[in-house]
Amino acid sequence: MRGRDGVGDEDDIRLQAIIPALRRYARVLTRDPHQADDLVQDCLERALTRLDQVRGQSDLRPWLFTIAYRLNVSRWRRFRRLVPMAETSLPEPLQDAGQIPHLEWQEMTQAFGHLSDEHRQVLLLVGVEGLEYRAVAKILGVPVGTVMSRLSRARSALHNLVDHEKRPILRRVK
Amino acid sequence: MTRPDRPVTEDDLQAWVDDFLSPECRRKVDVWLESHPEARQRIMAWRQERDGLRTALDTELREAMPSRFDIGRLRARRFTRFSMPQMAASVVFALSLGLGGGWFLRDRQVPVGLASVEQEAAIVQGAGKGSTIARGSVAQLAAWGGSVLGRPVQPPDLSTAGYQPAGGQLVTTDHGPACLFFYTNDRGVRLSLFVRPMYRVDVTAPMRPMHHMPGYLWAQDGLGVSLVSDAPISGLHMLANHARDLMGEPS
Repeated sequence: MRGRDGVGDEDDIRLQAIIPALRRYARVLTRDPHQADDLVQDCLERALTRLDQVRGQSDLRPWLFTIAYRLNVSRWRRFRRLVPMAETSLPEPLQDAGQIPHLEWQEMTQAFGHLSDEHRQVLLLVGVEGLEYRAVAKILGVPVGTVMSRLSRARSALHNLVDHEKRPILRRVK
Repeated sequence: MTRPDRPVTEDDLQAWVDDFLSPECRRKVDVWLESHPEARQRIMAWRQERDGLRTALDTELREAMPSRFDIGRLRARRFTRFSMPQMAASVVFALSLGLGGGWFLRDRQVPVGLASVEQEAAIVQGAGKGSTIARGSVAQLAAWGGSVLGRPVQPPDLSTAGYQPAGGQLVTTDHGPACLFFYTNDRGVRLSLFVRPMYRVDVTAPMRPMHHMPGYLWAQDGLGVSLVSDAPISGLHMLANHARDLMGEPS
């Protein structure tokens, strides 16, 4: 039922509007579109029970991303318990590059996929989502200094990968 | 971030890329960059790559949104899932009675209404073999099912068409408990009849064929029902009509 405790359509609309960004973050977390969408669903279900905690917050992304991050950590732990270590080596380097229409974007996505999970997350949260360092630190549960050093290393790593390709991959920049 | 009395730091350079510097700090860093061309080149590249990554990942945002992420639906689903005390009971039933090992149907795609009945029926059709309760207990299953589903559930008597009850299962789905009844005929054709309550969507719905298997589904009086055959057989539609008529009769 809607409208419980004054949590109304407006919150629903705000939540709905963020789902694309949440899906994107979930893909960065899981490296798998299907797992990502499962994570998004769990995250939304949890968020719906707590929407009243964030009334008045202008940006719901840090809150939702935090839920997604924690859910993913606990999923990963559960998975680790069930599957022997040998079978849980690093996942495949990312996603359906075929979904991305332009070659240069594919290359960027591929390079991104080769980065470590920590580096990918920080690049997404800061670079792509434009979240402040302090918000990112809260999401990841680390000090701001850690975010800064990760960011610096992630940017260098991405640059090296992209540079290595020796192609003008950034011709088309908005 | 940068005070006039201290040198430009790595953090300042990151903040330059991200546009988080105050105008004053920004000016200071810009002045510093004029005398540090390698640093300047490096952060320009970072910014370009940041923009490139944004563009690349933006394509993901343009994907169509699956209906499972509709907030209104999620709310409704949550409502049906958590407001139903029988849900817990059904889990206990399925687990403690060892009906088919008490497995869960966790259909993550979660269509609604009749489509969800179809999906669940398709899952149980494949999964239920060899783990059913004895055929003599069908009446008991119907009684359990009735109490768990919160309404009488009577498997239709299809013996006039040559199908005898062959057992059943109580299963749980994302939409709550469901009953599954099996029938066989003397040629070994197996039918399964899947029954569960409908909530708000498709409380009654006309019969239609199922998409991926020989079967028909419909909803009557708040129960979603599907009749699925193991193998393509003729007359299944008529049989489904027959079952629907029988289930519609007051018992």
